[in-house]
Amino acid sequence: MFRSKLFWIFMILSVVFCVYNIYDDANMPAEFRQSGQIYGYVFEAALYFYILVYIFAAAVLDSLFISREHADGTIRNKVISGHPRASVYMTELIVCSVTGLIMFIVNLAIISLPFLKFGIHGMDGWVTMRRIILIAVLIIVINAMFVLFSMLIPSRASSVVWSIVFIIIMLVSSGLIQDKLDNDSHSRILRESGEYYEHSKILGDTERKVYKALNYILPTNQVIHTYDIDDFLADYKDISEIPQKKLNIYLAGLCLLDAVTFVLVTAAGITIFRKKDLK
Amino acid sequence: MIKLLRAEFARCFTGKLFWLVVLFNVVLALSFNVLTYATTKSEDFSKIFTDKTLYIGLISMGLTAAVFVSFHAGSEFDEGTIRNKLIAGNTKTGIYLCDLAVCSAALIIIQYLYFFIAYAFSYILFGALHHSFSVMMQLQLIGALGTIAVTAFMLMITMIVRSRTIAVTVCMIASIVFFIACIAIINELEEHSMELLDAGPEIISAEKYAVLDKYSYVYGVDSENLFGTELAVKEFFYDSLLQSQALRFSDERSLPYHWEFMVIYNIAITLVTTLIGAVTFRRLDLK
Repeated sequence: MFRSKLFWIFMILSVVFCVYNIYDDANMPAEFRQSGQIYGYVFEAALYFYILVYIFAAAVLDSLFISREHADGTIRNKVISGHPRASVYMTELIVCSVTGLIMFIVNLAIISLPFLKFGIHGMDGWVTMRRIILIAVLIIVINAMFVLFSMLIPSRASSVVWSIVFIIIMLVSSGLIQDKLDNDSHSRILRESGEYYEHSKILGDTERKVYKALNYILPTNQVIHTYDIDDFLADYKDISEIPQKKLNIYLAGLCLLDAVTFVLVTAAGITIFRKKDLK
Repeated sequence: MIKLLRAEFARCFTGKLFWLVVLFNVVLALSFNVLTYATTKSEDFSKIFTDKTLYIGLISMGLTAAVFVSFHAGSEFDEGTIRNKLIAGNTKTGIYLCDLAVCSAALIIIQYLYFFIAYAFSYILFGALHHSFSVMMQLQLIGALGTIAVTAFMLMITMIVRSRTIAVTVCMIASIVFFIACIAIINELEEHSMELLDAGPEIISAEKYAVLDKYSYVYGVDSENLFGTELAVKEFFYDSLLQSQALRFSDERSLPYHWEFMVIYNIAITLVTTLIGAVTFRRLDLK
């Protein structure tokens, strides 16, 4: 992977993206500049945009990298030389995830650089830690999904297309779910305060539970919620009343949920890959 | 050339690709209306406006065109059929124009198919639409020109990179980037026109203010934050990108203000990209 041109192209692109984020900050109006508080916000927004862009980058990178092995026949050679199929699959998965994590760490280092100048005060360390941990976990889960697609679709072009279409469909459906939930909670607040609200926008109890569950399970929903992670973890109750420890436990639960998704996706991938004919 | 055209159309309509894309669009057209129908809890369905679903086909046309064009035209390079065509006596320009004609015809068919299915379903299930049918047909006609422009753009990329995989990657990323850019530009220009509305008649003349009041946007007026070349460039993209056009179709009640410019830009993009693509394609060596 590290010798491939592809990896370096993506590395450079993501570095350029991060530098642009910082540059954008430098162009902010003068009264905001030089303040660590404001850079804290920029840092958090940069993390959020990074994961949003990364899921598309991962779709392209994974499917191009793995499908090249399909096209060159390297995967068949590995199987012939006695490696079990499960370990061939796992190696690809580990390589792709580690690449994603390395790219993330490099970019994290770059966007942290301005802290040397502005100082770290004004930033809530715990929130940032939670955000970084969740992003790292999401990178692994998302890689697991794309490796599944790329290992099962031998054609290079098709695997790129399916990966990108899949992630777009996931993001759109996450957006729709989020929209439904937002309308619901907004109308509920209006109803409680006795103002006018639209009855059709309030969801039934079971319906609401299903949407909420999907909101927590789908990785793309978590991607969207890296922005307001604390509210998301606390289920939109008042954060100031909830101790940090409890939020950390919620985060651990979310990571566990991601781990289950990861295991399910990988198990499905290995099972199908075992039965697949390699040309 | 006519023989080549006939063969290309036959390849397009007998291949799996065209029908897969058709299937995708049909599912897309059905799903939004059916989803809205299933999740809305209201007794009176005739009051729910579903105009937005009519133009999702156009919004996703960038992606559809990226996949369709790069698979249809790009696989010719991988399979070597393009060399066979040259040996059979066709000119490079002829091959390029044939591909353009076939891809745009197929995509326009898909666009209208999406529209009619979405229209039929929103009419049957809900029955409330802002636009009259004639306005919708005019909008679809502008959209068809936009589809040709997008096809020409994607074909240019495919013919220059000459590989199916790279073409599909570059085209899909381009269409995603354009989509995000469209949303950003539309938001920014909406803010710009809100700023003008707040500033009132001191900055802009009375007749321009009337236009702004009526259409909620007026061209070529500087505000404090957005002015000069930056404004002109943003207004150009506001009118010329297909996704931005489609997003604006669904927002407005009648023909969008400046629709003539949309038509002109669509035709201009088609001509310019075809010219660049054909010239580069003629210069490049084929393996």
